[in-house]
Amino acid sequence: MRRLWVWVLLLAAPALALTGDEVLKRVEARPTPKTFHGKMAMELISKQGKKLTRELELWSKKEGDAEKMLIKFLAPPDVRGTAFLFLKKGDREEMKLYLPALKKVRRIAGGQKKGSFMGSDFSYDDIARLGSLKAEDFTSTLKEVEEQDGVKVYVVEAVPKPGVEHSYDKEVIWVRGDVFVPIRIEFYQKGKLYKVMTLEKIEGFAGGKYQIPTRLVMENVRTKHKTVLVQKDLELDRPIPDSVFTERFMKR
Amino acid sequence: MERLSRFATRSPYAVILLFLAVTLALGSGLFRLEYDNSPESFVPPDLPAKKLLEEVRETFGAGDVAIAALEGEVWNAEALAALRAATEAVAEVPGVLRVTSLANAKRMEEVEGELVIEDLLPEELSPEAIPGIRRYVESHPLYAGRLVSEDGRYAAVVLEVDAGVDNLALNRAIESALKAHWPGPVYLSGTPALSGYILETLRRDLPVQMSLAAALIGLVLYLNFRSRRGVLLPLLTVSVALVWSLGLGGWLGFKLGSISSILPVVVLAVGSSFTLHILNRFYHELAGGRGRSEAIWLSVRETGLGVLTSALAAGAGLAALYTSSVPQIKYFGVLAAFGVLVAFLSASLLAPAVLALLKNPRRLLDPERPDRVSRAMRALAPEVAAHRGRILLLAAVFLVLMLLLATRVRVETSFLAYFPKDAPPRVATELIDRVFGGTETLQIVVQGDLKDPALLRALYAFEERAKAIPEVGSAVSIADVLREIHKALTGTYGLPDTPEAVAQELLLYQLSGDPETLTQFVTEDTSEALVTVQVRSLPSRALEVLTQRLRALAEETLAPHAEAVRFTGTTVLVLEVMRLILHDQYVSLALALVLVAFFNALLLRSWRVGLVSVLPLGLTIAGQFGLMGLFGFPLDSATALIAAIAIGVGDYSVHIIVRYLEELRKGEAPEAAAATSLFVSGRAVFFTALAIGGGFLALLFSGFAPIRTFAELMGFTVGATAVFALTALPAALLVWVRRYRRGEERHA
Repeated sequence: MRRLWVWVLLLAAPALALTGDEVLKRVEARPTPKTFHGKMAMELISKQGKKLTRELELWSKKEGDAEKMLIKFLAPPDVRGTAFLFLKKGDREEMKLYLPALKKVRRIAGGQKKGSFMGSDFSYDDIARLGSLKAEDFTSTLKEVEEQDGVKVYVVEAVPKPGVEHSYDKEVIWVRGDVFVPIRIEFYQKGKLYKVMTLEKIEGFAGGKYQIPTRLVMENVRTKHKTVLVQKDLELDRPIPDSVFTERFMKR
Repeated sequence: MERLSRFATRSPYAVILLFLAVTLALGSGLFRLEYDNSPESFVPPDLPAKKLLEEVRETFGAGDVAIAALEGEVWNAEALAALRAATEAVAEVPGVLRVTSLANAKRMEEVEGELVIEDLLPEELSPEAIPGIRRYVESHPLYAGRLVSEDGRYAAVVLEVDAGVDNLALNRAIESALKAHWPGPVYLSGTPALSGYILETLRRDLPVQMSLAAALIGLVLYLNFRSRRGVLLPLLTVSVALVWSLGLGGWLGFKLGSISSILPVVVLAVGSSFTLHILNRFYHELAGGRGRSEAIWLSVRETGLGVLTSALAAGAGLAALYTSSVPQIKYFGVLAAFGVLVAFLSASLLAPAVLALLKNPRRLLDPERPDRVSRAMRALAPEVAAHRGRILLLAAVFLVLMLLLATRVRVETSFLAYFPKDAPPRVATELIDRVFGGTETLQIVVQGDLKDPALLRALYAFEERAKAIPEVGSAVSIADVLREIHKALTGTYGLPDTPEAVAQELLLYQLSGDPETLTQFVTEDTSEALVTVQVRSLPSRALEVLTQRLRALAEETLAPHAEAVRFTGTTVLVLEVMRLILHDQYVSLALALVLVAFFNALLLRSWRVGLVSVLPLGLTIAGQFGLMGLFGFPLDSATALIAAIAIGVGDYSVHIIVRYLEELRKGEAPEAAAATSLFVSGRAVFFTALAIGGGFLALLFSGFAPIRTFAELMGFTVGATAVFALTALPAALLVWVRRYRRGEERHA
């Protein structure tokens, strides 16, 4: 009799849990702040353990289909003042660069999205999405439901649907069931594990409305190179004037 | 000795079972045998250049460089698409760390006021885009002549491969990946590729050489014994020795390389002579009317001393190679010495056990019967006795002359020299040398502040001056990358003026790819940079000169601005092998001669005899090096062994000494003793020389040039030791060893 109950529970369990698609949709549905200002400490760690730390300040703002972002390097001293400006409106993208040593602002052709974010193991795309995916573009399956520190964790495998352009050909995402924020993502390229992102610390802002990862680690499995990203002094939803996203501000 | 043979004749089954058991146990090691002929298998692990190379691999993620040239018109959309597919496919091959070709090169330039950093080849390759790409590549010093030939007829795929992988499997995987996508011919070269081709030849040659050597030795044995048993029994004993030694190698985790291909032949040739001597005596005693068991004991007792002495001497000579700092030579020495000793053991145990079980042959032929050979030997004896002074003088002149010629011997360790002129790897190497300016790479690690514009200018100056040397194809470092960035940013080629500008331009470059795009040239903390110099495949001597020149240039240009400048790369390792071989030569040679003299003196109980016994050897070795000097044969990883192996094969002269002493002991006059000794043992020496020479003849069919040279020299060696053993040796004995006290006869 007891055995039968176990069977019933086992068979019923999947029906009670969410599907992979539902998990991704919940992640996607999380609110994101309209403006973002803060500092990032980026530690690049080589295979041999050699470290290089860069610090930058970041301003970003979203208004309808327009996105604006400014990044300024604070450290190391020799790159202090180097600035990047990204402006996006609809399909139009513009990227500008200011190198203080040359005292000139240069326009840079786009197509950097897949490239490295500020020379780290993160790509722009990784930073922008932080694990969130457009659920409708992916075929997703719930692989497992784990439990970590008393919290349910969904493990979802997401494969881009045919015709969808995506940097990776597979992602396996661990999503915390209480806040629906990814905590670990494995990125696959050409069928092989390529990078692993761990969102080590997630903090609630605006009374828990925003769940922002403040310590992230990205490891390139192939090269054994690692980047640790720490976000601090965050200001969310505080108005940022448009004058910040200008050449003049870049040079300042 | 005699006790052993008595045991063997009394319990033949026990002996045979014992051998069978050990053969099975050790033989299973054969399946564990691996092959390796990388430069690493030639250099000791603690060599500074090797340690630095490992550091370079770690720090810069760099591998050993192989280069593939894809032949066919490059500048059209189909070819570039094929190149892209081939590049992607080859990047997936396990063991390939990094691939560089036009297909994954970056474009960085200013287009209509916009800085463009993107992949050189756009996703969609349209025919209209080709001229623009071509113009860019041809004006780009990092790409033109390096990734595509100047005439646009060849595309290069530069492969960095992991050290310590099976180079043969890697070669095959690389070739098939490239050929699956590129329609034209594909050529592959560079040290790792050559290592792979060497392994390929090795695996093909090894069984052929072994069977050929066995067949030739068998033929000589047949001429001597005129019976099946006389052929099969010695071959059985050496096969056992071969299985034991190769199997032991497998269990000990030794890897076979080009040098190891000599191993089976050495064991076969040297080992078969042991059984030959014992069998000779056995048939002689049988023909003299003795019973089978008694004949066995007698033959082991009488020839046993000679066989033991020569086995110990051969073992010592080969084991002396253990002092070599070249791992491959070291392992060869150990296994060959072990094989020779096992051959001795099976000649004095297994052979008697088998003989005890077999019926006596119906037709008996005394091998020591006076035949044409022994009659010639008898005729030789009075001549030697009469002209002993003149013979010794002649020998002295020969020695001096050969030593003088030996000073002209040069060392050659280039992997390319392994291959005959028309072999495909050689053709590929020459082609790539011609179109892409080189197949070998030198890696130079520069330590210092890489943000210092002065050091960067020095790097660039070094490269420019290096490239002016005809043998240098290209030189690439972070300085070239910075010049490209600077050009894209400012419109003119140049290097940034301040450390800040350097740092900022480097940062910009990092944005164009993952962190690795930069760390293959400079460490993240900009404290170390890697300069990669591509040079033509050259003979060792020329390469040494070139490296010296580059070192001097680095000293002049780089050293004043850097903390340290160090050279490495597989090319440098191969040069180090050259130095090691030369150095080892003296050590192992001296040690081997001393050991042989020592063993002979010990077993024959006379220092004087010990010294005289190495005379034929000394003369032969001098002759070998003299000939190498005379004919320009290089001293390489194979010919470096000839001296040690000469000791192994050449010590059959000990049989003449043993017989001479035996006759003296019986109270014969020295002249008569020499005559008997030549008459009886001379024939055995003659046939042993033939058998051993025949064995080594098999190596003439090797696919490696050094092994063929080795075989030619071995031909001389075997002949010369025989001639010296039959002339200079008895002459010396007649001059210096005229008495042999009784009481010295008790032996093993």
